[in-house]
Formats: sequence, structure tokens, C-alpha cells
Amino acid sequence: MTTIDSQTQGLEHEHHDHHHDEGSYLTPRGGFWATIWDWMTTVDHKKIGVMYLFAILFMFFLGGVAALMVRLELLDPVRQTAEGVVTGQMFNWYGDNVAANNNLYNRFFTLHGAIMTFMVIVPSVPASLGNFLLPIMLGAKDVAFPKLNLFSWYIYFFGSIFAVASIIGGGVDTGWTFYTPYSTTTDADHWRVVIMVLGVFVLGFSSILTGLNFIVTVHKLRAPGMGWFDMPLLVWTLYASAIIQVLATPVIGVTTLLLILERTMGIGVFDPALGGDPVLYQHFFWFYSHPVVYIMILPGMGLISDIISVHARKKIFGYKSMAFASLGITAVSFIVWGHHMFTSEGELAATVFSALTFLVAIPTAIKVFNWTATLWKGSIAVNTPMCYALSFLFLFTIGGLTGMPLGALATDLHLHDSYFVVAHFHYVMMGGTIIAFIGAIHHWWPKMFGKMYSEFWGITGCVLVFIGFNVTFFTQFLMGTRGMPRRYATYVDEYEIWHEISTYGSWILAIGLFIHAGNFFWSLVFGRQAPPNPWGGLSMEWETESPPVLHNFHHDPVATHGPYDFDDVQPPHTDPEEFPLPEPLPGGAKPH
Amino acid sequence: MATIDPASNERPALAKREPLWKTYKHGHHWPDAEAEFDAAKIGMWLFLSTEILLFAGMFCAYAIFRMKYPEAFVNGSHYLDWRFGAINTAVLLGSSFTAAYCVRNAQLNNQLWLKINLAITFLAGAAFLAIKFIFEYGPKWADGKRPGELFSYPFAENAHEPIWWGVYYGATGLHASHVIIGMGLFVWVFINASRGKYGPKHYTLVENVALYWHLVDLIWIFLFPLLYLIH
Amino acid sequence: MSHSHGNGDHAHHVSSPFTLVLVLVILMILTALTFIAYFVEIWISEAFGVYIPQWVNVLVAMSIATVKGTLVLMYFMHLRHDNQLNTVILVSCVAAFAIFLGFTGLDLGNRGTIFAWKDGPIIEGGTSVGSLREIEVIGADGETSVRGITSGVSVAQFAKDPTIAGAVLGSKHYEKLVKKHDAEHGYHDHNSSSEHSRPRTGLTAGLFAAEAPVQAGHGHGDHGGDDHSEAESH
Repeated sequence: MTTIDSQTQGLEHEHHDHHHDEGSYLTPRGGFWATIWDWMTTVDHKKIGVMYLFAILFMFFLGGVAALMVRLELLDPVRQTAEGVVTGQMFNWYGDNVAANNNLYNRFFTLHGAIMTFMVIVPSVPASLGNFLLPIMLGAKDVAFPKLNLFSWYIYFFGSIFAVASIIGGGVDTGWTFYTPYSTTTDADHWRVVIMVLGVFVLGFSSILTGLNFIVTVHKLRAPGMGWFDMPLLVWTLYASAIIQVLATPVIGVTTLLLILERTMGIGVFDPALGGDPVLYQHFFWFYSHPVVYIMILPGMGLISDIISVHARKKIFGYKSMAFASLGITAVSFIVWGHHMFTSEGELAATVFSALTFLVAIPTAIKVFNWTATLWKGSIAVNTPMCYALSFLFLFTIGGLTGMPLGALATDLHLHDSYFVVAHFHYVMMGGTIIAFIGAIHHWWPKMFGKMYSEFWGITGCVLVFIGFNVTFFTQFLMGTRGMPRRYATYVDEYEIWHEISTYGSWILAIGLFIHAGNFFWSLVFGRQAPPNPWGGLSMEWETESPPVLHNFHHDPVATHGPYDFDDVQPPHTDPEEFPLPEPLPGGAKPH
Repeated sequence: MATIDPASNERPALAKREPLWKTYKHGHHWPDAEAEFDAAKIGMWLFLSTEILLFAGMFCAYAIFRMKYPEAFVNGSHYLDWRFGAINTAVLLGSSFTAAYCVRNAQLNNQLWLKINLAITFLAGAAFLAIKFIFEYGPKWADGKRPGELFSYPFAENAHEPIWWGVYYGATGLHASHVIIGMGLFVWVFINASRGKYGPKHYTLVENVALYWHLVDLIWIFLFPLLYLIH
Repeated sequence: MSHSHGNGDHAHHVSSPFTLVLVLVILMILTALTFIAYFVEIWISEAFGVYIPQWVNVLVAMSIATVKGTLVLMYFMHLRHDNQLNTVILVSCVAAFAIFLGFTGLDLGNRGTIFAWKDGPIIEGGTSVGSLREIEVIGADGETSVRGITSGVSVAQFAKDPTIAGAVLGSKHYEKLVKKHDAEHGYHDHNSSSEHSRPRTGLTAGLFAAEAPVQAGHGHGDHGGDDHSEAESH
């Protein structure tokens, strides 16, 4: 450790003359209000990324509270049993008024869905970690359009305010998909749905601008020496998802616009009474909202690639296949949206979409096999990011494989709109994206804030999250195959035991997440100073200090090695004893 | 232009102030101004793609409902006067031409004609909107030829005409809002241009705003025959 | 037609006035052509009494518009002399546009379509299992036609009817199956029918209180219909 510290100091001294004003990006410049103003008007991608991170975590908290409320209702709802009507005890804000309680439940699951989708998972990785890491990983000083980046942050901010205003006004009960006629008829004279939909419209622009920025940055701002196939896989996946952000998000823009016109003026395109077509709305909606699940999962896949490679100290297996698989997922994502509508679309389209849906499995399986092969014979460090990466592999594989029966037309007609679907997308979205996101926050936390977190509490939290997650959602697979429909406020008592287990699981999950939150705050205040390269990583962000200096690097960086050359390159700023290079193979053979 | 002798510290007495475009400094994170210009244009094209896909929703709604209710669309289209459509098409094509000329003027440092062409383009946009609102939207709205539930035209020949008007107002309204945004952008560029911000070495915004205006024109090229010329 | 204007190290293309004017003139001519096509179509259909389908109108108008759009893109928007990446972006955008329109149209344009291969006579028991044979079918127009069908037994019928199962699988094989099933479950259960829903494990007894669950060893012949032959063979 002393070696690393002295190296760090050496680094600072060595380059001291070359640059002006090279404090960390977190160093306050001026007094309290000046610092606030500095953060509010900053065009630095790191600060914007950090602001996004905390905003997203806050929205994650709000969405999580709504989720706990949903589970609380289902722990003990008003229901008909063999013994007669049982009155729910846990969720009776309105006492004996069952309809009012159920209405409240509708609002909670809608808020949970809308917040988690549009305000948490879609921006989660690209806007927070992506904003922070992408330029540094490319060796750039900033993203291509820094002002646009700040603009995108403010759009996100105000879009979220719209959504929160809708919550304060009493919430929306349409489900997060805003299907017509729910969204055009419920709460008939109220502005809440309009505000919520307007929030989604506005948030779409934030997503577009982030994606646009990333594409141009990757094309134009790679450091000298960094070719396309020298980029870390996180950058590849961010690039792939940015393409979707640019090409799919405008359609949700026009969809929400038409929905607002439909609701406020009744223009009729989604209203069957006037000859409109509610299924047209579903096509519009899913043309965006299917590709968007790849905006959600692709960057998560990139995070996992980097985490597994660094913490197994092994070159990623099949780099190019990983990169092309990311682009393949992007391409396939645009032609499979109809599998959300098997029960509402015509049978020809359903058949075609079902057949195309199975294409998704190919690039995804390539990735899973490559991660597994990367772990093989690696020197695996058991720490929080790695635990999360392993959880990801386990959960995402379950999520992916349960997508198969849903993509197959015949089985989907049975499983459609059941808890099986709910469990499936939670395994992919939460077990995939959010698990990868939390693991990645741990992985890059020392880089972002220059503080180490407590590994013990990190692993404890991870284990609790893993257990809690499986208890919550695996039971929902079982319920779904037995016929429990989604979005119902009550159930027959056949499902009682599964719902109870699921709710208890959600509490374990919540405890795990709160441990992480506590761990992060503890680390910000009391955490040990982080070395520049605590994990022995090779991509460019580990070459600068922790936290990075204002312009990311002391010198304009040059890429001299790939991000995964663990066999040949001693990681920068590390002790060779702690991160030794592998023994040379006999006869000068190469390991790969 | 007076030359400055690097050896002397004195400023030449009558040194003319450099135009802003000559002193333009590219962003600190770019290697040179050329890379920045190129990137801005790629960014603009990505943005234009999102605009095209925004209109894709309108075109899709049009296609689906024309497929479902062809008679309503033919009837509805006959309420439109093709002459106003023709004039507006000519106005937009002409303004697209002047917008392209703006770029050329900036590239060749022809400041006067740059401003003139910017102004003409702006005025053409205004003319387009004036024709649209005064001769098309206004009388039709007054007749009760309104979208969806607001429809109250007493002599409708087809039950699905409200849908046609929904698509018509939706598509042309979205297009008109883009014309308004484009006009605002031209005002901004005009103000900058009169401060001498654009010249051969720096005309990124002129180029990008012109691209935006061409896109508005492009959308209209497709929208116009679909709305006015069906039978 | 056009020339490159030197600008330091880099050459940005400057459109020549001739190109711009020429493109504008062509665009105006094409606009006029769109109108001419429109009026010619109307004239043809009225003068000769020919019905011109709508797709002709759309195809002609969209073809001309595509040519116009391409001109605007190539010359006004400089794609011809620009970074090729911009063209790639535009093409991917148009591809996404086409996918969106194409698949949505594929669905909504085929609503209510019943495919020819499904448009057969309704045959009791369905048409799925057994050997192919030919039958005479009387169509809606009263004409008879010959159509090839399978033996007219559905999978469900096949499974229920031991004589069919025995004929196909061999009666000994079928008996073996029944014995195996009885050994495992203690009884040979009924299939659900429209009159009778068989309670399964997992469902609440209270919800089906009107009828007690079928127990092993008795109650076989009570449930009517198709089950008789099955019960007898058992």
C-alpha cells in the first residue's frame, strides 16, 4: 500500500508543472453558494454524471417505496376465502372502502412502473455512470457537446418534477404503459395523466440528447492510439444503446404527443368510438418500449464485462464477439416489439414477431457464454462488485431463459399478463440492470469519490439483495404458471402463501439496499482514501487519480494497451506484488 | 488589415477589430476546430434522424387510417384547396434554396448576402404559416372541420372524417410547430450574423440551422401530396 | 458544376450557384409533375371510366417525392460531399422508419384475415391426427369440391378414445399406459369436459365446494358424455 501511495504522490509531483489548476473535480471552488452555482452550471461530464447518479438513486428510492406498498397490499388484501370474506389488515388507508383501497393500489403500481422505467432504469447506467466514465475511458476531456449534456440533465430534472407533481396531485392509475383507453378515460377531468405523460415526453428528450452525445463522442473523441476494438466493452454497449436511444425514443415522443392530444382534444386516433384504433397505440408504444429494454440492459452487460474481467484478472473472452453481439442486439431490438401484444395483435403479425423474437437469444447467449468463459481459470477476487457480477450472471440467465416461453406464441397465450411476465422482466430489469448498476457503483465508487467503502457491508448487502430478490420474484414465476394475473389487488387464497413469501422477500431486498445506502454515506464521510487503481484495472479511468482531476488527465492520454491485456501489462499505479502478472508459460507459449 | 510586429509591444493605432468568426476558439476538449465542426454536424444529423422518426408516428397513423378508411380520406382531402398547398410547397422549396445559399454566403464571407438570405428564409417561413393559418386552418376550423370529438361540420359525407381531420391537424400542426422553431433559430442566427460571428472559418450554426430547415422542407415534400393530392 | 473551396488545411465543399439554382428548378418541375400526375389520374378515371386503385396514386406521388427528397438531401444538405457517416445515420433512420411502418401495417392491415389453409370445413373433432383422406365439401356457394383432410380426429379425442389410441398404438400398449397411470395415481382420472371441471391439486377446495373432488376408485361413470367408453374399458 505504501508503494501505491508514494506512486500517487510521485504522479502528482511529476506532472505538477505541466498543468494549471489541477485539483480534483470535487474540490469546491469558492464558498458554499459559489459551489452550488458551480455545480448547477457545470458542463463537466463528471459532475453531471454525479448529479444524475444521486437523482436516479433518489427516484429509485421513490419507486422502491411504491413497490413495497404494492407488496404490502398483496400481503393481506381483502379477499374471498373458504371461510368467507377476509378484510385486509396491512393496507387499509380507506378502511372498509375496498374500491378506494384498490384504487390506491392501482396508483402505487403505476407509479412504481413509471418511475422505475422512465426515471430510473432507462437513464440509470448511461446518464450516471456512462456520463462519468465514457469520456474518461476514451481518454477524452469531456463528451462531445458538454452544454447539451447539461441541458439534458435539466430536462431530466424537470421531466421528473412533472412526474412527481403528478404523484403529489394524487397519482395515475393507468399502468406504466398508459394504454388507451385507460389513459384517456380514467380520472376523466383530471390533469394528472397529462402531466405524467408530458413528463415521459420530456424525459425522452433527455435520453435522446445523452445518446446523441455518446455516439458523437465515441466517433470523434477517442484518444490517439485507441481504435474501435481497443475500447472497453462498457463503451461498446453504451454506443449500441445510444443508437437505440436516438432511433427509438422519438417514437415515444410522438406517441405521448398524440396521447395528450387524444386526452385533451379527443382527436380520435386511439378512440374506437371515432374509428380510431387502441391497438395502434400499443404498436406506437412498444416500438419504443421494446427497444428501450435494450437501452436498459445493454449498458448493464457492458458493466458486467468490465467488472468480471478486472476482478477475475483475465482478458475478456471473445472481445469482438461481445462488441458485435452488442450491435446485434441493437439491430434485433427494432423488429421484435410485437411480442408484447400477442393477445391483441393479428395472428400473422404475432407469428412473425414470435419467430423474430428468438433472434434475441443469439447475441445474448454469446455474451453469457463469454462471461462464463472469462471467469474460467481467472484469479477471482471475492468482493462486492464480483459478487454482484456473479449474481447478475445467475439472475440474468434465469430472466433470459424465462423469456423463451414468453416469446413462444403458444405458451405466451397462457402466460400473458400473468405474474410469470412480472417475474420475468424483474429478473431481467432488476436482476440484470439494477444488479449490474449497484455492482458497478461499488466498482467505480473509489474512482468517482476517492473513498473506499466497507467491503464487509458491501458483501452483506449483496447477499441480502440476492436472497431477497430471489425470494420476492421466484415465487412470482410459480404464481404466474398457476394463473395469477398481474396488476390485481387481490387473489384467491390458493396464492396466499406465495404472495406472503414474496412480500417477506421484498423486505429482505429493501434491507439489503438500505445497507448499501448506509455503506455509501459512511464511505463518503469516514471512508479510507482510495488509491488511483484499487482493483488493478487497465482501462483509462484507472490511469488518472481518484477522484479524477478537473480535465480528467494530467496529460493528453495516449492508448498504449488494450483495456483487458492483463497477461502483458502491469496495471498503472499498482503494486506488482498485489497484482502480479501471470507466470510466463513454458516455451514462450501465449496464454490465448 | 494592419500587421502586428511581434517584436514591438505597441498596438497599431488604427487596428481594425477582428471579426468574431476569426477569433473563434474551439472547445477545450477538441483537438481542432475542424473536428468540432464535423462532430457538430454528425450530432445535427443524429438529431434530424430523431425528427424524422418523430414524424414517422404521424405518417404511420396516416397510413393505417387511410388503409382503413380510404373514402373518408378522399373526402377529407377534397376539402383542402390544392392551390394553397402548391403555393406553400413553392414557398418552402424557395426558402430551402435561400437557406442553402446562407451556408454558401457564410463560407465565402459574403456577410451582406448572408443576412439577406437569412431574412428571406425567415420571411418565407412566416409566409408559409400565414397561408396555413389564415387560408387553411382558420376557415376550416370555423366550418367545424375539426379533429375527433371537436368535429361539428354538418355536411360530412363520411362517418370517419373526424379521424382524417385528426391526422391532418396532427401532421400539419407538428410540421407547423417545426416551422415556428426553425424561424426562431433563424432569428438567433441572424442576430449572431449581424455581430459578425459567421465566416469561412466558423459557420457551424448556419450550417446546422440550414440543415434543420431543409428537414422541415423535406417533411413537407412528403406530407403535401399525401394530404392534398389524393382521389 | 461545383468546386472545392480551400480553407486552411481542410476543404469544405461550397455549393456553386449553378448547382443550387438547377436543383431548385428541378424541384419546382417535379412539384408541377406531381400535380400533373394527379390531374392525369383524375382525367383518365373520368374520361375512360377506369377505376384507378389508390396505391397507384400513392406510388406515383411518393416516387416523385422520393426523388425530390433525395435532391434536397444530396445538394441542399450536402450529403453528397459530406462525411459518409451522416449518410449512414440517415439510412439507419429510414430503415427504422420502414420497420415501424412495415410491421405496424403488417398487423393492422391483416386484421380479420383468415388464411386459406385455415379456411376449411368445420369437422367434428378437428383435423389434426391420422392419415390423409379426401372428402367432399359443400362450400358457401353451394358447389361441392374435394378437399384432403386428416381422419378427422383431434388430439384430445385421440387421447380420450381408447379404441383410436389402441388402433394406432396397439391395444396392449394402451393398456400398459392405463396401468402405469393407475399405479401412479391410484385411479384413472377423467378429462375435463364442458360439463365437468376436474379439481386439481393446488386449487382451493372451498371454491369448488359444490362438488366434492373425485376420489380414487369410485365415481367413474357418473360424469356423462365422452367418458363412458373410457370408464368401460377401464
